[in-house]
Amino acid sequence: MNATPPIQDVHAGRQAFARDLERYLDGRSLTELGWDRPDDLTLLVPLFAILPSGERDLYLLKLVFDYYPAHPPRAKFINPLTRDYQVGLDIMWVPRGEGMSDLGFHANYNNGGQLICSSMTAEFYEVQHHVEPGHVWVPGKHNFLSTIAAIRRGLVPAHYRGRTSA
Amino acid sequence: MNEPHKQQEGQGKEHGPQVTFEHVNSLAKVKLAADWDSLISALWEAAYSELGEPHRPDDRLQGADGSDLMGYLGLTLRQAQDQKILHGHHFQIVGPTGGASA
Repeated sequence: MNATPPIQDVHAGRQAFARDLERYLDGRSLTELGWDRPDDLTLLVPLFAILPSGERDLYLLKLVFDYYPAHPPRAKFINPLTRDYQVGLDIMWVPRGEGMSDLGFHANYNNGGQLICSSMTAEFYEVQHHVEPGHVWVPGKHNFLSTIAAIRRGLVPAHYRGRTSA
Repeated sequence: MNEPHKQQEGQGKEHGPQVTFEHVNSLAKVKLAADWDSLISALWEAAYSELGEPHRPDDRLQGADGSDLMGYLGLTLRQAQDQKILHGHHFQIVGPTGGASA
C-alpha cells in the first residue's frame, strides 16, 4: 500500500506534543537532555552519528508537530548555525547512511527537498511512499520518541558513512 | 576469566550496573539492578514485567545510540560490554518501522 497524505492540525499537535513531552521528561528538564523547544510546535534534538572508525559527527534534528498525533512529526536535519535547511547549501548537515532496510536519508528527494524516509516521519506520507501495513504510524501507539528512535538506527557504525556531499 | 568491572557512577553497590529500559511506544521507563552475568534477553523480559507491557513478536531491542541489539540477546552484560557492543546501560524497546534508502 501507499502512504496517505497527512492532514495538518496545529491545535491538536500543540496539545499532544506538550502532553507527550511532559510524559517523557518525567520531571527532567529539556536542558538535561540537551534538547530545545523553540516554540510550542517544535523540538530540536542533537544527535551524534558514529562512523565505523569511532569518530562522531553531530547533527541537529528538527521535529515539527503540526500533523501530530494523528500523524508523525515532520522531521528534518538542519544546519545548527542557521537552524534552517537550504537544499544545496546545507547538505553536509544531512547524514549519509547505507545498508538500511527501513530508513533513508535524502538531502533532496526527487528535487522536492530533504526527506527522512521512515514511516515515523510525516514527510514519508506526504510523498505517498510505499509502506507495509504493519509499519504505518498508529496514533496512540507511536509517538515522537518512535521517530527519534527510528532515525537513530541510521546513525550507528553499521550504517553511518559520513556527511552528505555534493 | 574476566576481572570484575570497576564500580562506576550508576552501578549497583554489590553486583553490577543499573540498567534502564525505555519502552518507546508507551514512553515508560524502568530501571533494573543487573548482574554482570545477566543475559540481555533475561533483562529484556524482566523489563516487560516491570513495565507491565506485553512482549510483542515484532518488538526489537536497541541501544540508546540506535544500535541494533537483536543479534546479541544471548550475551551477558559483561560480554556485551567487553565486546564494545554496549555503550552505556540504556536500552530502548521499539516496534517495526518502514522506509527506504533508495
